[in-house]
Amino acid sequence: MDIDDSPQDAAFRSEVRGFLQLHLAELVHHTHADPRNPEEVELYKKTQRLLYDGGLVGATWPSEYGGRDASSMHQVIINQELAAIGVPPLVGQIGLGMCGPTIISHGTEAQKSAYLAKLLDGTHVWSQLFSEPGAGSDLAGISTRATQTESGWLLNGQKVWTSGAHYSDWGIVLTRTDTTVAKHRGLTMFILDLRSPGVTVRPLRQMTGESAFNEVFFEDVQIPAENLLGAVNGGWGVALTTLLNERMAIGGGGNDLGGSIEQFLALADEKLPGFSTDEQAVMRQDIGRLYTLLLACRWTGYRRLTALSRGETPGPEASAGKVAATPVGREITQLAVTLLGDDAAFNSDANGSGPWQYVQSILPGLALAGGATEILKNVIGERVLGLSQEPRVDKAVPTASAAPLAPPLPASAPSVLLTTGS
Amino acid sequence: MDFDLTDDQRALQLAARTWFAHNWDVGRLRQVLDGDPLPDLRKPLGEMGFLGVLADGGSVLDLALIAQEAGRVLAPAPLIGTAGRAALLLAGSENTALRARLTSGEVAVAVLDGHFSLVPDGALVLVSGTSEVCLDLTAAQQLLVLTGPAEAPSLVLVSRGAGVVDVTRTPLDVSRDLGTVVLTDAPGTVLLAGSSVSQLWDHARLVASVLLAAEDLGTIERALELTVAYANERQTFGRSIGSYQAVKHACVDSYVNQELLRSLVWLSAWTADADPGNLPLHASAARALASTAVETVTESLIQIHGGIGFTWEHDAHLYWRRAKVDRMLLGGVAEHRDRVARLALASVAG
Repeated sequence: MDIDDSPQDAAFRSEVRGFLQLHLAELVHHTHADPRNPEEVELYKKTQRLLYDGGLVGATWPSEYGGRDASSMHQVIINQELAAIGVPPLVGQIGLGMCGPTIISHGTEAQKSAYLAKLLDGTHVWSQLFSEPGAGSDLAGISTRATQTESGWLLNGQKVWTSGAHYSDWGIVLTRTDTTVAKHRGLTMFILDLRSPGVTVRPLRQMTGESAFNEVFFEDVQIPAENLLGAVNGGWGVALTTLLNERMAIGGGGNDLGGSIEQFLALADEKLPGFSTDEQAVMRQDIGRLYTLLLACRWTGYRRLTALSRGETPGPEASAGKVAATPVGREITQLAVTLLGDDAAFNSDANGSGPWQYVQSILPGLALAGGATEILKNVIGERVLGLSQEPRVDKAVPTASAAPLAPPLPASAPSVLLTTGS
Repeated sequence: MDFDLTDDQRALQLAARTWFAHNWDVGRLRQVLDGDPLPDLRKPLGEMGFLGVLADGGSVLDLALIAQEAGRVLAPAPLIGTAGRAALLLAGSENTALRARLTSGEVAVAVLDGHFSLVPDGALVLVSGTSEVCLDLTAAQQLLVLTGPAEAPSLVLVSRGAGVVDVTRTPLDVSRDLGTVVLTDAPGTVLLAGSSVSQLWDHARLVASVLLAAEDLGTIERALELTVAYANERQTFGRSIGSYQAVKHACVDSYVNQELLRSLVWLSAWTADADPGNLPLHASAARALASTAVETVTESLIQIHGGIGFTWEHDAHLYWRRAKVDRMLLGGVAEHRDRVARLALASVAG
């Protein structure tokens, strides 16, 4: 055990830092508006391209697919250095964290050479098209249909909560291809060109007022046969690969959920003297409790990264990271907003600045993204602790004869323009 | 960064687990609660080298792994007070003979918290004061105390004898040999004096906090194993209770607590060995989390067992007793949370 950078890691860190300092002015920063604004997508793509050329994107990927064969620890160092200079998450994060690794695991050589390079360098942004109005936690219950044609497949149905679809070029889409078998056995994954005729992307407005996710409708969308990802009716296994990678991406690798702890501590240090001695003592108890949990979440993530850097794959225990980090992020943000005093009753202070109010309103969504806490606890309980599953009445039943799925959202569901947000 | 145990450390931990499994049965604590004397494991522990880890060039992390295994079975092993805290204090003194006897288990040494005054008396000093809660106390023949004014502290060794009076109290958890002791002009010898004594004292107390957290981690591991086994075995309404989400999620909460604590035990133990400047933050964090985690998990152990978990015959209350007492030792949760907050805030101030 040695928690300091090894000499090699220290050299790599200084290399990364040097590169970032050299290109500081060219990189997108948190102060910029977000990538959902069409003009700014290009800015974000440019940043990813620049970082890719510097070897800082997909560093852990195999070199044969455009990566650098770097250890997971190098990716952590890259993430830490990017966060330190205020570079927001990359526009291609879903592709890099979930779609790309899925293609590496299940794609054909032709697919890998066709897609991965442009995914890495930011030319193409990818989405993950999994959840539907009738199936989210029970993902295998999806009903979007892909039917085989002479030249490929015909896609009909609807996805929802699809982050970034409105500025994405490609996606991986989970479909039902056989209704005569049990639900997990009739699924197939495809690579989908989101510009295909018949694909309609409709942004959904979130409780923050912004639009980061979408409804995506498919009406007789043609998918070429070569876009099959994995085996026909083997889609569940492919989706599990995506979900495993997602677990590491959200709260699993020692990254904090919500606002930055350094910014939180700076805020607390500034605001605490404005409270009575008694109130300060109570708040320090909360700060101590939450900072303890945050340290514990972070170092639990580093334990998994150590395992990953030795070539182990992320198992179901990685879900514990998100289960633990979600309430910590929520409570730290709650305390930060409390420290703002009367300003906490408004969306922003008198100068129009309200970062903690914003984080407060986005956390309910982060808590759901990548698996609701209840679902993740089932995964840990059953796959890590070995507790029995709850009886599942539909598990062995062909989907065609199962109970009807929930109706889609009403046509009047809110939709907004692409430029809404920030 | 390499945040994992080495193969050697895993082997040491396994050896400790095996040793405790063969040499201690948690059920014996029931007889001690009913009045039997607490068995003294010092000599066999000394023969295994477990009391001399720090004296023999081992690391706090090594000792923490042994402590974790002692905590699994609630063994009355004086690892926190004697092998950890007292050994570190004696390592700074010239008294190598006492250190050797501590390491072999021939002599029991306890460290007393509390305020003690000191009056010189020829070559000796006379020490007075009270230690309300003291680990590994009642068997101890030798007592270490910090005395004198803050600007000129002394580490004093007091032999049990004249001026040393135990206060008879009924312990809640009998496994730690806890007691209260009053010193009244008890003769002692100064082992160390000067400002460095405070640093040594604080460091040893923080290491003790790390070891306490490590023992709690072991207690949590065993309590969770018992809980999960019972949740799978016990049937209600035609299926195992572990299949119900309410029960399953309670088990998962315990598991998450266990894994979070494991990270902080490793981090704080590594810090004690390699980065002592950060020990106050990391030791207090580990200690604060350990207290709440072990309480949550042992309460869950009882609740998921239902009525059987509330019986004298079941081991659940032995684990629960450990949790209820550990939260009070070496400074309570509030003290440690406050320290974590102050240190974290100081890291960004100015």
